[in-house]
Amino acid sequence: MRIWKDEFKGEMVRIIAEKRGDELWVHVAGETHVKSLVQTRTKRSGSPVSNQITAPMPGKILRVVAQVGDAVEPGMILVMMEAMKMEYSLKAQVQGKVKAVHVKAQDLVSLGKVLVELE
Amino acid sequence: MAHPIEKLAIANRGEVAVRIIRAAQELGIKTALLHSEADQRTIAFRLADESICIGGPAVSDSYLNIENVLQGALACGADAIHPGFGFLSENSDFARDCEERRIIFVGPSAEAISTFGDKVAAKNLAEKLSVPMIPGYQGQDQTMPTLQSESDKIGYPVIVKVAGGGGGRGLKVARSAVELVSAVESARREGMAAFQSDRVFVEKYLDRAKHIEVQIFGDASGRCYQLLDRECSVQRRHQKIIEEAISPSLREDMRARVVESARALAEHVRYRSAGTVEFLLQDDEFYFMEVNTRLQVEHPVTEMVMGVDLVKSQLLTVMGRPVNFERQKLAPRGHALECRLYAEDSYHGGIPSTGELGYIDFPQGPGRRFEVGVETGDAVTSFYDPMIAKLIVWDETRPRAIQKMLKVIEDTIVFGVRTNLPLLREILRHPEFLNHTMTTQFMQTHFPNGLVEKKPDEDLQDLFQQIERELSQVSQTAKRVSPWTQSWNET
Repeated sequence: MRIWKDEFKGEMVRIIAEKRGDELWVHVAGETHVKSLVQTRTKRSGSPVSNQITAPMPGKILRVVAQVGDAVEPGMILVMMEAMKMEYSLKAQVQGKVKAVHVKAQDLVSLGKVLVELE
Repeated sequence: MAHPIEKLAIANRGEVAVRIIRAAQELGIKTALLHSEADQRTIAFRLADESICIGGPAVSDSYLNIENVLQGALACGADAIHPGFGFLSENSDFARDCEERRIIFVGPSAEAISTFGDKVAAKNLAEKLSVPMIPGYQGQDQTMPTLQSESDKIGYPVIVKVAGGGGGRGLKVARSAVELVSAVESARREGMAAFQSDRVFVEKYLDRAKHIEVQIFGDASGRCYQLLDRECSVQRRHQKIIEEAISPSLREDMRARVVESARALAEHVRYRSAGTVEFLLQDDEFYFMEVNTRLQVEHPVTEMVMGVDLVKSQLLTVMGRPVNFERQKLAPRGHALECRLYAEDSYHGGIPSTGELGYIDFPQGPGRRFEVGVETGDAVTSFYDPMIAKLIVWDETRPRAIQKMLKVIEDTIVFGVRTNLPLLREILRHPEFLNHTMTTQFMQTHFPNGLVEKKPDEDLQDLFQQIERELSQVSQTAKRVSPWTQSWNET
């Protein structure tokens, strides 16, 4: 961790920076920024339109509504999960058919785990 | 009759455990923290005079496990337990078990907890005392056809609640008969998981209401006080984000009626200790919602404007000693705001962020108060609520308190986990918040998906590059003594 004063957007400001693993954390001008220091791009979970339903956070699967072969419409609930004591409904983003289901009720899943695939 | 406490067990975690430990220590009471396996790296663990591990990380194995909590308290010879908020704080069985094992439960009587804890019983009592009610169905018949026909009568949207619920869990809104089925199912599931209750009731969902609540307190002599109101309309998924005292939206005549009805309710059951009566305010009418028989997360804003210490008052009360409210004359002074600092990514729909905390700093100053549970090196896990701290400010007027809070948010530094600080800042700058017309729909209407992350601009990219350059130079000359070497390599 390092704290110093430097010019930023034409003003002298306090800057705090810390390297944490593969990330650089910087606080400047009232905001905290995180910069990844690894070059390889990691796939983001939960991208706006996707054929894959991934876990948006670590948690427990409560119910799998989707079954292989089901026709789905955008907005249909595919999986219900629990995380941080709250229930979340994971919905289809696109129209399609369920190609594969990778989880069952009570499974513990990590962030980004592919739960359901559509075709 | 006075019965001093020598050692207080704290059956909670996070910032509230710290709050209670400090209050007890100030009163000369020894403290024993009852904590889970996952909570050794916390401020509360370090501050408590003693600590006892009461089980695994899952709340059902530790903080919600009555037997483990009681065993822990008995093992360390505590003569009282403070339950904090959440967990066992509103569990009347727990309060009763404490009594049976001759441990003082710091809170209201088991009877008061069960009366108000059953939301249906609470409503019946409020109705008896002529407190205005929201139209709803609270019947014994829990079959779906009945729930549907009653909901039709009330008119959609309706909200489904689990009797015995709290903390935003087991609450589901349904806008049609079709949605009602899944709302009831979901509420029952959450209710069973969190409070072992699947009995639901349905009521009209007020869709442009303000959340107003009244702090009540019953002292050792049986006298009940109202400590004025708070507004907590900024909520997301029924969890509060920003609270303030006193409400900027309550007309004085309305305020007088709301606070008096809360006090009357408390007095009717001879309420002891701290509690909160929650109301909804819409179209110049107020409606009773529920009574929370515990200290609230947002108690500091009341403390700031009323000049009281609610946690110490709770401890004094169970010791049979008087509180100091009378002398204070209980007039509000200035304005206080609280922002809940959640380890949630403002830019990705508010998803919880876990990890080890790096540098963390809160900008101290007059009228600034920070309730914090973790410090550098501690872990934020997914086992518990993502709230890691509360930022509280006091100033002479609401606009000044908002200005102060904005500055506090800008200068608060949390490295290691993403936080809702950027979102808090946007909320505080929103015209609806500034002119206090926000309702409980505010977050859903204006920030349904949190914020959109901006690409780093050129200045920021330059700064990143500059720092990265210095970093690589450091690694090349790592063997030389440099102020960078140690600090950069530490993490």
